[in-house]
Amino acid sequence: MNSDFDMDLKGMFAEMPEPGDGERFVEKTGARIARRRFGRRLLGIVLVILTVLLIAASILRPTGLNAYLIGWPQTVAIRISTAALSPAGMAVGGWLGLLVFVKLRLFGRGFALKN
Amino acid sequence: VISGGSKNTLTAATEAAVVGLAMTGDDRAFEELVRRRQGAIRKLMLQLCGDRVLADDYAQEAFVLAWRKIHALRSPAAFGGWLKRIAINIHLQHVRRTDLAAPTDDEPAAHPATGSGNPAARMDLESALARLSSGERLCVALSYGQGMSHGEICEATKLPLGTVKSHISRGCARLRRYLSAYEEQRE
Repeated sequence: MNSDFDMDLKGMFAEMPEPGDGERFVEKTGARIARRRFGRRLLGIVLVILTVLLIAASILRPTGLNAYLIGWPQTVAIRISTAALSPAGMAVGGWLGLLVFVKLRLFGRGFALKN
Repeated sequence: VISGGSKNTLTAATEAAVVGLAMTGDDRAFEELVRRRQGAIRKLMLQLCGDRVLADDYAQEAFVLAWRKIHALRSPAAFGGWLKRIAINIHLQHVRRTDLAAPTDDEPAAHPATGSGNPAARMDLESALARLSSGERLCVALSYGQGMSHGEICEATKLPLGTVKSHISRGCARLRRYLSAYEEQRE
C-alpha cells in the first residue's frame, strides 16, 4: 500500500506542470542581473572615488598658514582623524565595515543551515 | 566550444558548451542557460515553497547567484546539480528564521482552497504540498520530486537524518490523507 502510494506520489511530482511563460521569466531575470551588475559597478566607482578622495585629503591637507588663509577647519580635521585612528574609532569603523560587508554580500554568504 | 554566441548557435549547442561559454562571461550564453533551466528550477521552487509568486522570485534569485558564481564552477557538466543546490540553498536562506526541524500539528489551519466550503475547490498536489510545514514540504519535495536519498537531503539541508526521515514519513502521511480526502470529495 505504502509503496503504491510512493509510486503514485513520484508520478504526481513528475507530472506536476512546469510554470508557464518562460520568456517573461527570462526577461525578468535578465533585468534583475542587469540591475545587480549596475549596482555593483556603481558601488565600485563610489568606493574608488572615496578612496581617492581620502588619499588626496590626507596628502594634500593644508596646514599652517595655508590652512589659515583658506579657512580650513584644522582643529576639526585633527579631531576627526585622531578619533578615527584611536582604538575606539577603529572598533566603530570595523563594526560598520563588517555591517556593510555582510549586508552587501560582497563576498557571498554562507548557506549552511544550522539546526 | 562555440564562440560568438548568436541566439541560433546557442540554441543548438550542447549544454556543456553553453555553460563553458557562460563561464567566460558571455551574457547570451547565460541567458540561454536560464531559458533551458527555468522550468525545472521554478518547478523545484514551487514544490519547496508552495507559492507561485515567491517561487519565481526565489528562482530568479538563484539564477542571479549562479550568474555571479558561474566562473567558479569546476566542470560545465556539473552545472545542473550545482544550480539545483543553489536553488535549495536560496530556499533555505529564506526559511532559516522558521524552525525547519519543528514538528507541526496534525491538523493545521484550513487551506484557503479547501476551507472555503466550496465543493469545487481545487485540491491537487500543489495545494496539498502548500498545507505541509516548511520542513515536511522541503524533505518530501527533495525526496519524491528530485529523487534525492535521505543522506543527500541531510547533506543539502544540514538537518539530522532522524528529522529528515520523520519529516518525510509525516509529510507523506499527511499528503496521502489530503489527497484521498479530495478524491472522495470529487467522487
